[in-house]
Amino acid sequence: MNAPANMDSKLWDYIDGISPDSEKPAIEELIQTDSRWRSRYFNLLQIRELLQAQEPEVPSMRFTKKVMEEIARYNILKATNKYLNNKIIFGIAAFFLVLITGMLIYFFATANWGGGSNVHIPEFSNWNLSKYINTSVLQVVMFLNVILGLFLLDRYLGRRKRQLRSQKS
Amino acid sequence: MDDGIADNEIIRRVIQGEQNAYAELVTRYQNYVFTLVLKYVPRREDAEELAQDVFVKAYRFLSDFKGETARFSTWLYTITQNTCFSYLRKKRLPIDSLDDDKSRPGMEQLEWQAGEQRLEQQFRQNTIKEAMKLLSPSDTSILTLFYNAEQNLDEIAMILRIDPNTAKVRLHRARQRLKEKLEIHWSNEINEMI
Repeated sequence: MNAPANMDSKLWDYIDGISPDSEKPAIEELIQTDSRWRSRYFNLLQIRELLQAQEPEVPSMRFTKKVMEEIARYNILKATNKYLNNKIIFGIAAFFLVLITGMLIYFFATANWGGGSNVHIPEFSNWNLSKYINTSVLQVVMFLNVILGLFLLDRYLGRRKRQLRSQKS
Repeated sequence: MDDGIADNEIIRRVIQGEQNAYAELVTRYQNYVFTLVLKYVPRREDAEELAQDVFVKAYRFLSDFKGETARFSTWLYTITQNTCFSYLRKKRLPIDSLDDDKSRPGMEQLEWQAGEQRLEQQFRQNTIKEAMKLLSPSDTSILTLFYNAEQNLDEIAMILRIDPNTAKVRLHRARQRLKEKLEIHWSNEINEMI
């Protein structure tokens, strides 16, 4: 704790009020009893006071007027979180939920609960896939893909537009 | 900095269409936004233009500000930081090129000027100000945010998009560098100060 760098670090944190509560009594005691710590403490305290007393730079008198003239040309944009339509997000979630639930129902319905050793594993080769995958199902899947694609494209273009706008302004 | 009407109340009014109320926010924060921009863009004309951009951006995206999670000043300084970085990137200037003393142009001249001023004024404030000029933009901005713009370590972390512990380390390093500069260039004055 007595190394100069460590001393400075502890004292800065103590002065700035960011040192851990557990360390504070020890630092206070060192300031009281150790002349090196006390001298350094007042040294850093002085620098801190000077830092805090620094006046900020002041822009020109017309600054506020210029900003107000500039913003008169614009409207406040809609909040970013409102770009995302919750209905679409819920729709996608519902789709996957229905899909997973359907698969689970099918699995439990076809499972053989009869005995432990006679577990019936359905043979995939015997499955009649054409019963489940027909033209209508494919069309629905394709339609959903197109919707998802358009949604992602819209998000991408929206982001690009905002980036361009912020670069111009 | 919430003298008079609170920032959030002004923001609510601006969003509801009272555009003129925004002038109050500009007046409240223009000095610190301008000071922060000046850390990265030394030419006052450029800095002023960039500071204006910050307020225009903040106005346009005001609906995105979430008053319940952060202070307006923190949000505004985040925009300031991002605007400065975008500007430097566009101008192809290194964001932290001034970290190294050797890379800082006119360093000797600055010291000489500071020396002249020192002899003329013997002014404590000036000493700190000149020492701050010898630091990198990231060091001076973190010191300004902490000691002048009333931002705590969590808020600084939010502005700089870093971890609060990293913010603490960076603040510590910035203070150490400032102390070193003061000791190297103004040791006599420091001794007189104390």
